[in-house]
Amino acid sequence: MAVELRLSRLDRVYRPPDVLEGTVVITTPNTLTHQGIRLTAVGTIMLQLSARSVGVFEALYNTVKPIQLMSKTLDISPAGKILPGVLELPFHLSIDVPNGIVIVPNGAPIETLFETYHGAYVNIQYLLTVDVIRGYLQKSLSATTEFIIESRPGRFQRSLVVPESVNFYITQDTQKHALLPVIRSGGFRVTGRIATQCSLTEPLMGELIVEKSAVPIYSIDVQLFRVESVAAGDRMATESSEIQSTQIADGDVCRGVKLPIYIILPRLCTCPTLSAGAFSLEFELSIVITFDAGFSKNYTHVEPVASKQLVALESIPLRLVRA
Amino acid sequence: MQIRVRQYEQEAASLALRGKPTTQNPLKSSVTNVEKVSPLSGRINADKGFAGVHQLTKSRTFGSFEDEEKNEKASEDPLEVTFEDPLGVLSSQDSLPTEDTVKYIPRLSRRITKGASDERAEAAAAEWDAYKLSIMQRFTSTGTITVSATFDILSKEPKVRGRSVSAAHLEELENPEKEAREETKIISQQEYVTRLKELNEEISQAWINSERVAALRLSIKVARLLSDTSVPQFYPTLFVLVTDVMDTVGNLVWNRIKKKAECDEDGKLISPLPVNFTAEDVRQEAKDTCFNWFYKIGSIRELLPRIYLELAIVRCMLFLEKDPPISTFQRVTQMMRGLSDPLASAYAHLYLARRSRATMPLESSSSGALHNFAALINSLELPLPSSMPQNPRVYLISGLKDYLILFQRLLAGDFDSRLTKAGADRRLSIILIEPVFEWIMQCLFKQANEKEMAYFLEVFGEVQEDDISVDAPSPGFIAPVSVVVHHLLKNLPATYVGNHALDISKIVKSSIDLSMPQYMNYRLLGLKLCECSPPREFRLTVLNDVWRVVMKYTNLGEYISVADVFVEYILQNCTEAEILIILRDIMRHVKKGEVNDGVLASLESIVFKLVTHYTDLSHVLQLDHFVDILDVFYGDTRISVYKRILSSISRSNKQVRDPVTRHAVFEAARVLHDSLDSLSSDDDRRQITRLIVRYVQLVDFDRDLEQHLAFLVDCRGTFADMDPLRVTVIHASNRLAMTTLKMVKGSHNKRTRDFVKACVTFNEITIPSINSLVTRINLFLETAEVALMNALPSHAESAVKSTLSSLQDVTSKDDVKAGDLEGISMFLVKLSAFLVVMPGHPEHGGFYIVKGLLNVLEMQPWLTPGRRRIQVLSGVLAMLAALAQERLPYHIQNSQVDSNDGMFFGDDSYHEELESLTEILVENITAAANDGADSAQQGLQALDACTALLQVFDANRVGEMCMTLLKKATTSITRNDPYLLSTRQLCQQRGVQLTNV
Repeated sequence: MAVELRLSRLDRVYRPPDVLEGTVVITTPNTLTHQGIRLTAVGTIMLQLSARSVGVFEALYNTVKPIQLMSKTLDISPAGKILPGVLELPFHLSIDVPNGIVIVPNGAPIETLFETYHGAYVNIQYLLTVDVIRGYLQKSLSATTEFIIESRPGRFQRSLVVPESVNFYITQDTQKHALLPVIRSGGFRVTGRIATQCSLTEPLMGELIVEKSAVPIYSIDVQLFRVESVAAGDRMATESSEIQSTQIADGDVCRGVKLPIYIILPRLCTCPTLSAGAFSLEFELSIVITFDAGFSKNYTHVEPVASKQLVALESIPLRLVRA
Repeated sequence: MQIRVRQYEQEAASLALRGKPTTQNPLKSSVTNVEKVSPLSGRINADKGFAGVHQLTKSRTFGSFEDEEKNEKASEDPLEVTFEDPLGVLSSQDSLPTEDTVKYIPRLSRRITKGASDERAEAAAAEWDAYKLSIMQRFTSTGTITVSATFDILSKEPKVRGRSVSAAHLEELENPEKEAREETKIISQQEYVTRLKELNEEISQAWINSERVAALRLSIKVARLLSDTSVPQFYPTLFVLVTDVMDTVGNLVWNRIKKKAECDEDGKLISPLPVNFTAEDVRQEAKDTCFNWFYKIGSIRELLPRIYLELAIVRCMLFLEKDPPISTFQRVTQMMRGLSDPLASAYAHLYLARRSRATMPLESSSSGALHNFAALINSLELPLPSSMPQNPRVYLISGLKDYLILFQRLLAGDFDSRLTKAGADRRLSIILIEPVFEWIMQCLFKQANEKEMAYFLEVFGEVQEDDISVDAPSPGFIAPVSVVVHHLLKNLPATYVGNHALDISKIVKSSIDLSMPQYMNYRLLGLKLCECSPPREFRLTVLNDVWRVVMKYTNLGEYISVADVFVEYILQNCTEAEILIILRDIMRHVKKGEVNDGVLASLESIVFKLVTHYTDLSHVLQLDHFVDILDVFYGDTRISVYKRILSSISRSNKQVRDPVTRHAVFEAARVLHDSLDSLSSDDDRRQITRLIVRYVQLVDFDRDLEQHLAFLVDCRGTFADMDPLRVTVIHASNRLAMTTLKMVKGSHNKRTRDFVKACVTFNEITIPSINSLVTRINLFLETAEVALMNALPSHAESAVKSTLSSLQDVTSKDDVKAGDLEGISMFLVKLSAFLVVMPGHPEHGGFYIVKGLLNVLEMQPWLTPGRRRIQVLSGVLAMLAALAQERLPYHIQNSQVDSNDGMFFGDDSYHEELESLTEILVENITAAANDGADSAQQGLQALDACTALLQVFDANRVGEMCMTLLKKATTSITRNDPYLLSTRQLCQQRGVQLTNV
């Protein structure tokens, strides 16, 4: 006896108001009596407080309740018998826009389904479950599969999205933390341009030029951070964590040469930037310049925190949109 | 016995075959046929060879995939699947049939079974396989490599590393000794190679087991190996191995997506992709999978593995986009700017060029692509001059340009400290990087048109305004890099170089750096110019331009190797004045520099060129400084130069009259002769002898015959120990004697007679020192003839006597070689012919010599065994018959010489003696006829004897004898033997009564 859920789309991506289509496949060796087959589609936002920002105790006790975005049930078969063999039951389930029914605490009514997102402290997930309900004392058969919600593109005009970019420059003076003296005195200057608003389906583009650097460069990376904030009582607990790091320069690159920045945004780990009262999801880019270890050898023994001093960085907020 | 009267002229006329004039040369047509056929057959062979290579690569490159297919029980062979290239269709549907498309169509129709895209990939793979081998061979090194734990996949059990990626390289920085503390393994390169090959297998295996993510992870780790340049010598090999893995991965992904496009989830075939599929034909599922791959690879943190893997699967872009992925290549090219290691970056460019060869069409293809390309240039703000032709391979150029900035830093010494640590230096790095330039240039020049070439030249050749880097060695300008110029020049067709010689020479002049010595570039330029001359008006300008630089070279080896090439150029394009100048310049450098073997080799080649160019050697010898240059040579080179000079004499086939030439060549010949010793090979000896002999033959003193004879004497003395030379000298001296005779019109005065005597005497002295008996006797006879012609009967007689005594001296059978026997019997027949005109001895009688001859035959029977004896005897008999005639068949054409018919006219005792000799001969012949080894031999001998007798005597005299002989022959030879039949016929003609036969 096995039950299986097959969605019509291989990539399981649905854009409301798409209709969720698929088949329930029940394989059984002998006759199976049941009291109905029911489909349930559930969308939840699960929030979690990070221990670091609110403290261990609070993190344990002050759990934030999940917010339900969607909950639909559909009986696809009344009670009956299933003969031995393979039974395929097709189904259609419309995904409705909540239309103001769901209220996020401290926020405005939600008018759209949030996109699927898998993060560290915030998770937005949609699950489809099929249950074959069986009699008393008998465990019901069930299968669950995740489906992915993406908002329909087109809310923003494409032309509005693309051109927003920002020029940045990184020098020894823009750094808030202490740098190794040799780096600070030698000086460096890295300039560039990077998109600050980016469509999720397009690569993130930009360019970067090492104009000068007295100390050889070890590596330049562009890191993508998620900044997740969850309301905890009267304040927001904000935590940022790295999603992806992309190296764009390996070693002491030529000065004055334009290095392209080209980052493919990872799916599921990114979604349109959003803020909804109880939580918000933002993204950030960080350009990290690491200087060559050759100089650091002498310092590391003396100073264990020197590693930070080898790094210069610049953070740039990033607005992700579905376009 | 009565000798019959003969009319020799009439007989000759009646027996001669009738000639028939013809207008056709039978050889002529066959020669042209051969010419037509040969290149064709050659091409066929080449094609076959090519196909062979193709098959080889197929099986190798796709081997792993085929395994997979077998496992999945898919019925069709992935290679047999037919689809066409999208571009091919596009270009052939193009409304404007450009030249390219016209070319393209027949190509498509020729091979419709295989998609153009696959075909291209295979061709590229075949090319690469060949090049790969050359790289592996060029950089073989043995030794060990220290492998740090960072490259843990090299150890047999890869351990999982839990470190977060971003922290990883900070950690590396933080604890530089951590690596040292971690186990570093020292493995040999062989182990490294083996391990990588295993990894290749492992990846395909993982793939087959549907562990695709694991396979990808492994291949990322493999790609990461290329960021280690700590053992530079090993890097090219490493590159080859790693890219093999990359290619495997690329093919696996390609085939998987293709299968997705053709089959549904259960592996059932939905519909095969059309031969020339485009992105539109591909199912969405396949596209999704394809996108997924690009996502996966895009998330690789490190730059280098990301670049390599993206390039490995870039061909899959064809599933997603209609146009070839120019923009992807362009972007990856730009991403490579982030690689700062010159070696790693160079090879990454090489890989890009390779993948582009496999992916991109060579032709500037469809309009769509061009449109795309124009948009690309705009979007990327490429610094492209207006002259840039619309070539989709533009990213190769910009990539190479980018790389050159890095390369300039290498040349400037930026990386020296790191190189020293790795035990290498700049020079080694350059050598290691050179294949990259070579390959990329080859890629660029594939089917490039003239406009494109001009652009390449402009980009890589001319001093550029610095538009990318602000940190170039000479601020604002980048000089062309010589190694790039070298490969540019190498790939430029000669016609192009010829037409732009002046520009190119300027480029070569301006590119001076460590990467490639300038002289190599000049040399290459020279070679190209020799292949195709520049326009007439520039020929001298180019030369001057080049020479202004080259003449300042202080290194003799470099100088001379350029000079070597340019001598050829001057010979082809300039006048003798320039040759004289360059020879003087060469001499000036040679005097200053140190002459070593390399220099000599170049000088030798210069001499060869001069000697070959001027057909007249004396002209070359008269060039100023040429003889000085000859004096520079020593040792083996000298020998080979002299050989070349002598062979030029024999090739020119002209009389050597000029005394300077004669003298110089004589010296050369003497050196050659002296170079021979007991250790010299037979070939060498033969070759030198032949050269000298030809020289002696060609020497001509015109009317100064005495001088010539003196020269011959010199030759004999100098070139002792060479039989063929003596023979030549004797022939020459005989010729001298005859020339003299001709000059005095047959009647000698005292002086000429003395000279002729000197010639003959010279011969008489020289001949006995010749080893070969046959040669010796023939020469004696020749001398005798000459002497007799010149009215020196006593000399002639002594010469003939010498031949006889030579034969007499052969003491035993073993002294005569089997091959000589024929020579001897032929000689004896010839001697008999001569004896017809040879006057008899006044005291010893008319048949003094003949008797001597018979004596020799008697005493030395082994000289003429079997049928040869009858042959010789019948010769002698014929001679006697001739003498018996009233008038001899021929005479010496010199009124001063009498023959026997004149001397013994009416002398009875002479005739009696003749008769008795004839009888002896007849006896001898009949005796010899019975003296065969076996019956068949005897039969033939009987026929020989019969014929001989019939020739000389009337039938009624020898009829019976002939009958007996014929009978005998009939018993031992088959009846219808043609010889027997014709002899019988002869008998009948001559009236012999044939009974019982």
